[in-house]
Amino acid sequence: MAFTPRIGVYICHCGINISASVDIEAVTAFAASLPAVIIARDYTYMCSDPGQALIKEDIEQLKLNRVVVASCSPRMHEPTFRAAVASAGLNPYCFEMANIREQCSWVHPGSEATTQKAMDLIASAVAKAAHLQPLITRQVEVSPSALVIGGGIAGLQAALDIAEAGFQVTLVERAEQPGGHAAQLHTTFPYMQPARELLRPLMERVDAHPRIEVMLSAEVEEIKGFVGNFEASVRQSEEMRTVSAGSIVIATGFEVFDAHIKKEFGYGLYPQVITTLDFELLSAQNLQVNGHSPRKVVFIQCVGSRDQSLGNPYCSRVCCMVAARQAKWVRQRLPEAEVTIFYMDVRAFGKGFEEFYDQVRTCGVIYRRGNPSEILRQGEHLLVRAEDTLLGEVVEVEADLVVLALGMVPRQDSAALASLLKLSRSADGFFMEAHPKLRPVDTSVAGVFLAGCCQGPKDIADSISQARGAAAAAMIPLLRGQVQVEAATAYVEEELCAGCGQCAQVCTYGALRLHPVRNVMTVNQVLCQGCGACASACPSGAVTVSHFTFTQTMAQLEVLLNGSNHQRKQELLPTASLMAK
Amino acid sequence: MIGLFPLKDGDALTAVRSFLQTLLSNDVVDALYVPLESAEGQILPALVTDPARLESANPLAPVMLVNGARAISALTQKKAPARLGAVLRSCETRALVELVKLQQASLEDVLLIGVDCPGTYELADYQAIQKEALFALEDALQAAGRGEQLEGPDLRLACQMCTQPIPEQADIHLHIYGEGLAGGLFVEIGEELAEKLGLTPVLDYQVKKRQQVIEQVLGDKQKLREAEISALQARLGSNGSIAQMFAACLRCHNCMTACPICYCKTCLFRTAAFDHPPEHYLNAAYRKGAIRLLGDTLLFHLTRMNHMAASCVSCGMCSSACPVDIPVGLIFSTIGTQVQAAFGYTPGKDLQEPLPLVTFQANEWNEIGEVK
Repeated sequence: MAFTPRIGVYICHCGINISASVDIEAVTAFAASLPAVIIARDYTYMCSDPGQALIKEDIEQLKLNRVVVASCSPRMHEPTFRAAVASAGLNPYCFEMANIREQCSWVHPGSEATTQKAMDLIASAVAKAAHLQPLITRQVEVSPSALVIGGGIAGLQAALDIAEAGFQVTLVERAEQPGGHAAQLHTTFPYMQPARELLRPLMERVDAHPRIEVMLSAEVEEIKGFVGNFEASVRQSEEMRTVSAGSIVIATGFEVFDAHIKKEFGYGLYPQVITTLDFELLSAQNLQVNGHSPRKVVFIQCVGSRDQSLGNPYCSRVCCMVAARQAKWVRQRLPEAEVTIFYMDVRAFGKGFEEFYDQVRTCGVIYRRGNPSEILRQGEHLLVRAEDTLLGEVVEVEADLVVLALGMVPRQDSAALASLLKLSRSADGFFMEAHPKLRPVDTSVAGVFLAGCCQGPKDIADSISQARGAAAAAMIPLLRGQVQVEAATAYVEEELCAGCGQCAQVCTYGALRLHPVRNVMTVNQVLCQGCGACASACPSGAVTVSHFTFTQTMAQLEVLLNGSNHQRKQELLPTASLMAK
Repeated sequence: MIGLFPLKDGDALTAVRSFLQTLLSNDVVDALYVPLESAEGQILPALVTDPARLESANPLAPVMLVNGARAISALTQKKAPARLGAVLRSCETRALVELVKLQQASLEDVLLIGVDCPGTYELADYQAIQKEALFALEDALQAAGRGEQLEGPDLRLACQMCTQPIPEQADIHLHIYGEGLAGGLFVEIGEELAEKLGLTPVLDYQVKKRQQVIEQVLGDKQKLREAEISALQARLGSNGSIAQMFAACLRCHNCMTACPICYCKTCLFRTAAFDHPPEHYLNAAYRKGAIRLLGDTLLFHLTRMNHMAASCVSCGMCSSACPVDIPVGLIFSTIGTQVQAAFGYTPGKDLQEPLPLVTFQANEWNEIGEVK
């Protein structure tokens, strides 16, 4: 018996997100009138359990074989609805989504035209739905190993957790030694523990771990594959090695803001102006300036952070506490010294931070609210000029040591790494998490996770937290042992293929190869991610991507073109193309 | 080096024939792709293994039935099965280079024998020249050597405006421009091959004279090319002009068949891809008031242009094949020139130069994209 589509259309109000500018009642009536549509319903939140239950019940009772949900972007809830139709016994690829929120209600004012557009989008999705084909979802074996890029404190912790869980880890570090920026710190806030005491045990455990291989002076040059089966080409000195990994943790850290850029502070010009990082080194040597202990020390906060003129509007989150900790250290070692901190706001948000800030003030550190405008030379000393915004007057504070509390900036090479893995970056240049609240360690690339300051400024505790989170997330595919591969992949019709290889040239996943005997292109179904670049490069139309076939797309286009001509709508004939071939 | 192959009976064609015979008889190649001339004067591309059959070879006849790149594609695919010699014009070699990049041909074990091209006539004009004995081929060649053309019909438009008549990739290059053919056939050739064929270097070769002739010929052709292209560009400027240009199209697809580079096994337009249900046409007519039938006439040309513009070598075979005289080649050359300029791409020049449309460069087209 010929296949007859029986389509259910479900229109979501999304609270008032859609219903405020789209006439839901009219849209539902319109959807019900479309060819092959058996039922059209609307509901406040289609993604909610009762919403999903509506769909499932209809599939069972009305024998629906295709489902269309008109709601948000498929990026948001396609997986939700695919799972819902699958639980009612339909193939998940017999589901199609019409995006009437991001592409309609959110971007247009409430009007007849907005409602009309929602109708057009639904009609187009229904036209495609009639042509949808069930696809087989397959599982592939996962390489039981992880690659951690970056050997700072976050990378070390992530590597250790994954290895402790029983998986092989390759840790790639660019420098000659692991440890990253934490290795340059003297003490840590708020408990004044030496950084060495925190870092060394971690480094020793990583070093001694039977399942961790540390590659030093090494760089990742290329990454191929996908979640479960990545293949990274790593260059170590002159040698190239291939590392297989089921998942990847990026922990490439940050760069310290270059203090030379803030010319008004005279870094590099006045020997008495140093940075918080220089201070770490000096304090290891008992803090001597020109052979004397400084008597007047000024700290300046927010150098390179919260600075619109530099394009760094963000807070670097550590500098307040770093400066407080260093100021306290000065007061303890040199009780005679006068210590002033110029600040905009003190951010003491972490556990124990506020208490620490209190301690620092109690021990005699003077906090002055104001952003210094310049540093002048006065004989052997410096004069820090600032507007004290609490007093509302310009003040000049003498100093024989000025410490600039430097912020964090994204690494120069983060663009290169982003393009290697096709990662997104936020406006500030740090790598972007998949969702700021719900998926803080994930990236938009499946199987690739973020740990530490490569995602944004963090202190050690937060870096460790994120590293352990990223490690746990990275272990999910490794523990499962199998990952589901995209079923909507490309295939080649061999009678049409001339083997010209243009598809292979545009494929970023290395999924296409010329068959050595048949002289036609073949698709590796595991590597293919279904992006469709090959299909558009093929002049013969020999490449098709399942779920986005020529017939399906033409059916959508046809309806959109017809739908755009409202006046003639009544005259339009229902096209036979709506009936699946 | 430049070697001199003696003219027998003072006849260039006989010299070329016996030169080609030496390639087969000295075991330089196993087979030779070269046009043969039938007893009735028809020029037919052929694959020759018997040196005796080269008595009727005529690669100098100013006519071109097919672009030979297609034949070399058929003969080589991934690799030639034997050592193959191919006597080709410049536009044929350039098309061949594009086909190699498209994995449709191979230059491995292929000896390219290039001939300076004085241009070709449309088949009907060539037949008229023969029938009415307007001039002798030998005289036309001698004149071409001096950069002149004998009185008679015009060359094919593609040849009149061809700015690359000198083959660049050839392993062996037969000169026509310059010294003329009076002293013999000048052959540009590698030293090893020259020795094998018993050619001795010409010490007093008049390079300057050859260059002068070429410069003069190219100058004239370049001017015409620019004029023709800018005239067509002007016509393309107005809305609907491209539909107008292809208005007479019969959908015979001859242009596609004649194109040396159009390589699909089955053209998309010969499949059912554009067979729509009847309602589709009616709905389109409702939308627009009237539609042209069949609907894929202009789409066919636009699609072919999209596929071919970057690689088009301006051989003009499409124009010659068009039964209704649509200047397909000129349209493709005009669009192709712009596309090629936009990507800084010269088709047929360098095997190593990647095809621009399948090459990704992170930093290109910033003027129309997102600048980072």
